Amino acid sequence: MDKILSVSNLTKRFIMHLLNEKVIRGCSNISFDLYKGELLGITGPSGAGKSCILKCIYRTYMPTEGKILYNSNSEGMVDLASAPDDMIIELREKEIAHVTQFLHTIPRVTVLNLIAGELINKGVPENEAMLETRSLLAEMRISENLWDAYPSTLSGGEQQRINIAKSFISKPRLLLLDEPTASLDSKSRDIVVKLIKKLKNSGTTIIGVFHDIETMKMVADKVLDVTEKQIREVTKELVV
Amino acid sequence: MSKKKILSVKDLNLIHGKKPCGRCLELTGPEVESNICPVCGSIVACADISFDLNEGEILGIVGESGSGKSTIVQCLYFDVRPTGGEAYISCFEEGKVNIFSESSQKKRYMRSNLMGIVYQNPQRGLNFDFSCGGNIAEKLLMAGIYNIKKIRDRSTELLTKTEISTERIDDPPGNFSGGMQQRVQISKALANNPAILFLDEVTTGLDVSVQARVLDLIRQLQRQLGISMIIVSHDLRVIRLLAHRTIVMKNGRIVEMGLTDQILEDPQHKYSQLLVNSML
Repeated sequence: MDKILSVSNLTKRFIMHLLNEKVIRGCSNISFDLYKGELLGITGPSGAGKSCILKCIYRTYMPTEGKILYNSNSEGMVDLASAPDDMIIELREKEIAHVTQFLHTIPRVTVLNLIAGELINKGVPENEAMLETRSLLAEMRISENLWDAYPSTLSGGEQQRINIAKSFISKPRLLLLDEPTASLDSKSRDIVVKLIKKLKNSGTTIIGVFHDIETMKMVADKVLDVTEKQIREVTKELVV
Repeated sequence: MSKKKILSVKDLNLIHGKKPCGRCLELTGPEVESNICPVCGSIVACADISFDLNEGEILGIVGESGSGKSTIVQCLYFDVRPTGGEAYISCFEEGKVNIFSESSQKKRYMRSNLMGIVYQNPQRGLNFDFSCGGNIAEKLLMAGIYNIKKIRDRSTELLTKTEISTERIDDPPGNFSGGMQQRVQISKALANNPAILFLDEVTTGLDVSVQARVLDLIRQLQRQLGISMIIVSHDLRVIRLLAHRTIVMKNGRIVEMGLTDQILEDPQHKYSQLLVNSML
């Protein structure tokens, strides 16, 4: 199997210049390997640095130490911890997606246009992009009368699903999910779980931060417990 | 696969003063928190500015008032003459000629054919004695398009794109609201299909509903036409929504440059941390 990601000794420390150079620990000595189509679940108590790992990989955070070797489609092996900014921008446009817990969008762009825009940016013709978006929104059971609404008028759970749809639509090669089911009811959660599985089966490699262990067990192939800092393979017994 | 550079700026600086003493650059900057030279009193508007702009990229410039944000854009649009430094545009003389050392005729050519600018103050970007169609025509005439029908068609197309009723094509901008003037300015700046668009505080002073429309317009333009842009703003929310990369300036210098989300969530420099932590 193809190794997609190899993280070794990833460490992030924040130096707060305004607070007398105080050092805040983000995450330390994180190492794991990930193969094509696998899903790594990250779990651990709040503040343990779960999201921090995702943000280092997406390079929203500049890692302090360690390597993040990503086997990219277009650039070969890239160390995301030290790659130049324009390469990161390119990879974000084509291969790597990050779903945060919050939806940041330009105001007054409708749900449909927002999601279809992701495809149009990649060169998909507009009518095709619209068709695909409609079918994904239908699959996610997002009520049709919200499709022409502005995301700011939606509820928290709806916004979260829109956010997920926005990154799922373009089928990224590496997907970073930060608490994708946090504010969802059980029915919506099941729909999202189904979509995650579908995406995984189509070959997307995924890292997900989960608070809800039950959800994680439904989708994860391996688990990284940040307090223990080691990878546990998810076995059948664990799943039951 | 790496994207092509459209603009490359090297060591740009601008010193205002009758006789700079020669030590102005070393005696000013963010370390001493001043851009006024203590020896000769010259003002260092910007110094040691080096960056690249890629094709289709939106680059944000943030920083407090007087940090030199607009100066960079004004130098690049030839509104002011820099004291030193170089800049290269890939679609001008194959990117081999320093644009600042060109003749004023060539500079006019670049302004009319390769660049567009939208100023914070529409009075600066528009001629209030002309109609709004006339303002767009002015830019087209400068770019060498003299066919009246072509000019008229292009003006109508641009006004439609910026959502201004074409019935008002013959009204002077003075009869328009601030938000509409700003959109006429954007139409004018786009008239010659510029390769590079400079936007200087375009949403400052607009009410939020107009602001949303202008932001959406800018994003659409980037998406549909692939125009490279430099956006100067002190509103970090605008930068967050639009810019791929961001430059943080202080006392005329670049203190940090990086991916926009990294600048906003993991700023490295003391001043960037102050700026981000002051965000509402």
